[in-house]
Amino acid sequence: MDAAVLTGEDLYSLFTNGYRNLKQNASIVDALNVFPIPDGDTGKNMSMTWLGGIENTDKEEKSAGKMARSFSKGTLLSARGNSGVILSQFVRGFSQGIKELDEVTPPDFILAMENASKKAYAAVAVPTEGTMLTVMRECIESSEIRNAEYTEFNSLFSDLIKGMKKSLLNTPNLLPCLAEAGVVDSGGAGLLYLFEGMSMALQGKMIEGEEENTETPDEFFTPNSKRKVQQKKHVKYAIVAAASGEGMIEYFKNEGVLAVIDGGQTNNPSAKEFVDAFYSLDADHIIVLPNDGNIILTAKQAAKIYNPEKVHVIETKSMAEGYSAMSMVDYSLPTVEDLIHEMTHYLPNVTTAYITTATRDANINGVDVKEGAYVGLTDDILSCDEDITEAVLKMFDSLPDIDDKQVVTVFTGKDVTEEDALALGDVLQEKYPLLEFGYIRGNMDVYAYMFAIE
Amino acid sequence: MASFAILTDSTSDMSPDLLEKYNIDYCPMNYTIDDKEYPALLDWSVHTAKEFYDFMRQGIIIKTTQVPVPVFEKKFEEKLKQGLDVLYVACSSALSGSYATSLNVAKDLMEKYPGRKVCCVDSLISSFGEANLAIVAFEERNKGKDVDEVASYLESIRLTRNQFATVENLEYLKRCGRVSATSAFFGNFFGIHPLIISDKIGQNYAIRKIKGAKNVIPELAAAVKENVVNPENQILYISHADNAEQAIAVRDAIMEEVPFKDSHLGIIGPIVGASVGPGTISVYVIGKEVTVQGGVS
Repeated sequence: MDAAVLTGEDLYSLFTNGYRNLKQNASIVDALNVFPIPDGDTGKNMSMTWLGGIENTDKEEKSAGKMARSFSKGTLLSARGNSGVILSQFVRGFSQGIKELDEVTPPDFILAMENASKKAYAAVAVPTEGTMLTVMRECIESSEIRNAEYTEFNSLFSDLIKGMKKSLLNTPNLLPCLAEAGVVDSGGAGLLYLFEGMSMALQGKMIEGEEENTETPDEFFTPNSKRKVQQKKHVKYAIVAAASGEGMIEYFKNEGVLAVIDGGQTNNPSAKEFVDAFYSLDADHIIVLPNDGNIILTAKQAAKIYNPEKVHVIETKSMAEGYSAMSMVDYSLPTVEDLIHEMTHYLPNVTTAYITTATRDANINGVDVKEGAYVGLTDDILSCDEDITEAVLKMFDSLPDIDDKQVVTVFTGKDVTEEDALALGDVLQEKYPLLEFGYIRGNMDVYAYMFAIE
Repeated sequence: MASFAILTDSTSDMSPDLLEKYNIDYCPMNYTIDDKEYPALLDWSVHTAKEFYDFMRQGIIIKTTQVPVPVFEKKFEEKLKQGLDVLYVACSSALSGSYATSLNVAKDLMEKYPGRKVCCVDSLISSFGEANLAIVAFEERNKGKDVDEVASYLESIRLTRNQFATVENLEYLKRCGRVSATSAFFGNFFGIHPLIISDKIGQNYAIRKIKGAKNVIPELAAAVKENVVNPENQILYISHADNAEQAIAVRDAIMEEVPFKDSHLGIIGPIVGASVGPGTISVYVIGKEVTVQGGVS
């Protein structure tokens, strides 16, 4: 390609290759999309918009101005999404900038880019910096571009792309929601892919094939991205929970418990372990879930030692109760009293039930217990059977308030497979059609199953 | 003779009957299934409501797009050519870019038709909340107000339109980013039904959690009772995403508690439906001014 001027046909190749490059990277752009509405479709919207432009052109059109005009008309009609609308206005500005020209020189191109960026800004009621608008504007503001006298397009595009990249990597510093998500702006990234594709066309490298890239380049994540590092930071509310069993510890951590005290085999942590956990946090209020009747006093003791004003113990007597309390958490509530109110609201309604294996023969609570058989228990032993499903069904059957319950969360022990759990769930669902069942892998050691019945 | 035309968009969920009754037109958005684009028509002539929500139940992802510029241009210009000014009551700007786009189209058209007015109002709500504002515009127009007066009146009352909604599956709202709450709000928990309001900047905001499906209806009724103002002068509006049975139960529970003059049940259109998912029930009343704002979504 003669890179000193661009004709209509040259522009067609550039537009086409820009589209192909964006299309191949559309999923990456989609994944970056957090602003203004994080619906993950920026890449798709931009590529559909751009494609509409290409489809509206005659690829044999010799005049650059005419080519740009039909391209612009096409993008206006096919514009979708915020990013697509902005992009189409950018194209419109570009096309107005070269409309009289049959051949475009690098200085013409820069002038048209300036007009394009102005039009793009005007397309938005309240332009936001840190978006593709910023990238459109800043890429032509670098000193290289201002001072150079380009005689061919390859070096212009190389500088444009350099400027775009720099501007794009700076977007998280301008737009807090990007910084929070730890990503650069999606629309800006889409623009970069378009221009990279166009630059490749200038070098004669037309993209072929349909392969799709999905691996987001590392540089698109900010260095302090929360996806990568977690650091101690000040929070209004912190939750500390005791738990036993690897799976349950992991579960509580994943659900936002900032410090989990491992109860260990005996499930008997010391007050010191709680106090150490409190000191590891930086929070206005600490809420403690002891999750065992025998740990409540220890937790209260620790609260007294640390700061009774700041630490609030919710008296959860089982991990199932702790789960129920966690399910109602809403950190946006204004006061800690409100938060505790929500977390304890449904607690009186929680029944915790377990399935375990009997260690000896006995007759307890009128139930004949056989060593090695499955036992169903709440506070009392309720059922025993050689068959685990029978033990569960008998136990449910003897719960006095089962008809008032609505939601059952099933935590599976370490020896229970997902298949077993779901098969059991099917039997329960059939017997109790109005109950809603959910499953969580708890990997408990002692219990085959734990049920939070609410 | 009407002095101006009233338009809304696909997210107003107004049935053809309502549109005709109040002499309101609308600008369709689009939805996309498997890369094929369809206009989001409120008469369900493309896909029936049942078909549409069954697609979603099968896990088909339906994407939506804002009102395209050419649609705005065509609809607005059509009215201007008839000698009418235009009032466009838009979907909340926190949910759709349509409002922002409409302002630009309006600006261009007012240059093209000097002396003429195209007023766009951000309803800060969607579904029957948005529809209600369009209906108010009709009533105010009948009182002889001009387009500017009606537009500023709508802006002064829009935050008194309260939404109380509950969804069957939060995945839809989360997937399209149209619900505001900290990510920790929706953990790996079962049986949690969020109560979703439209906050003071028009975002869907999950304000609290309801545990257990049986508690949803009484909690919705309690929220209406607590927030409604002068129910005896208003119609209770309930929209649902292919869940008529529960919508009727919700209506009956609310009507028993609160003396509304009448009630209106309707179906949630394709655009709102694609983001809230099948089973959603959404209640709209005129009540206390909304002052709550959720976190950044």
